Amino acid sequence: MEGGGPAWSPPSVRGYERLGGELRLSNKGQLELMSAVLEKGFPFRTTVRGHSMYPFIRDKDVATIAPLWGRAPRIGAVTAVALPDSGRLVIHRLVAAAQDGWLVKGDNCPCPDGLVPDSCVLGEVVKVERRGRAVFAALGRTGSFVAALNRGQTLVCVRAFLALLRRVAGRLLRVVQASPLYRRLARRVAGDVAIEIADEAALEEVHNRLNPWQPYRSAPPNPDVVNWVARKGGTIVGFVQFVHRDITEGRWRGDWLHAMYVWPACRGMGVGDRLAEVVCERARAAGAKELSLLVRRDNRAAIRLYEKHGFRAAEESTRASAAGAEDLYMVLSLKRDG
Amino acid sequence: MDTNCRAGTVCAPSDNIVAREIEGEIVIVPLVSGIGDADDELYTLNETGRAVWARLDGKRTLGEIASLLSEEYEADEGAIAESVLGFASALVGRGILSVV
Repeated sequence: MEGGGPAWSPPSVRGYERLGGELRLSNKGQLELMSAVLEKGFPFRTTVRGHSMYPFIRDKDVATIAPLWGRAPRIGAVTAVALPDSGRLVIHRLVAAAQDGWLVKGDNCPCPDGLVPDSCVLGEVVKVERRGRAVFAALGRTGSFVAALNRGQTLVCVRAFLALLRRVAGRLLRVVQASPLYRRLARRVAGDVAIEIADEAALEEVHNRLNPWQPYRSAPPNPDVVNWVARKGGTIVGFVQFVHRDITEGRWRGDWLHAMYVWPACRGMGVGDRLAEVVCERARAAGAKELSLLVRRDNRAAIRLYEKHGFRAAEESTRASAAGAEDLYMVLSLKRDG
Repeated sequence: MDTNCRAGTVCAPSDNIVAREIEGEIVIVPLVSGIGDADDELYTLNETGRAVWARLDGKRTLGEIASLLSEEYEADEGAIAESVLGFASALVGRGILSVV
């Protein structure tokens, strides 16, 4: 018998490898799914998004949230909470107990989410994974200490102070690294630096170092781009690209030294020299007439390095307009005499 | 385990999954090793899959479900029965349905 309804298509089931991939659930959808699993008495494992619990939980970390199984949570626990006002799901820390509820706050948030009743605390985070490995997220007793710091603005102040210390230490390090004595000693002590073509694993490691907020995506091989890494004792300490753009017009045409980066602690050891050399050699071997680069005008150490290798600022070049106000366009002439 | 379903087979959602209708989709989370792992694998169904799922009550046979659907959809009952049996077999194979 045939009905007069919609056309029949074969039923199918589709698997989605990751939440947040093709199947995008809203915050409310994730809350429903998590609640359903927790209510059944099972832990729920999911990717978390956002920076409100930084540095303990980072964007795209994977958290396992266990049901409370009837016990009361404790101060300092990181919990999945349905905020009573908005109904939004957050994974934040219980920083203080209040009458019939809890004061909830993200470790990276200046203000608390407010008071929430026990019934809105859905479960407790028992494990956090980053790139497949369990990481410390102040979930145990240290959670109480973090909660104590985070009740007022102490944690925010401590983090601002540590950031200031890091900036000052970075500046001091740059001053020391610029001194001739340090450079002579560092090159002697550092030993051999190996320069090698970057494989997929090396590219992912460099990406995670330079863009920790962005997931790594493998790019198809491009014959016009060559990537190198510098390794010291097997550890990556620097990166550079040679890029050939096979176009005759446009400000980005030609051959470029691109994305040079030396890990801050390894500067002054000759790593940048080795990376610059390998790109210059490649450009010469490819028959390039000139090699271009952009460098930030306030990066005096890098400008000195490029000048040492023969690069000159080319402000009058029409291609200098490719550079923004903060960048300097430099070019190395590779034309052979005669 | 034989996962081939027949017209007389009665199926129901497995105890080892959590299924919810969320934002118009049936989202199925397998409970693997005692954890609802939304980071590892989730399943959703297409429209006719949802129609079959809604009728899997642990009482009706797959043949009866196919017969009900043939009254709603524009297709031959035999073709519907064939695809319902294939669909149910696939879900039994994945541990999403269990045979009652």
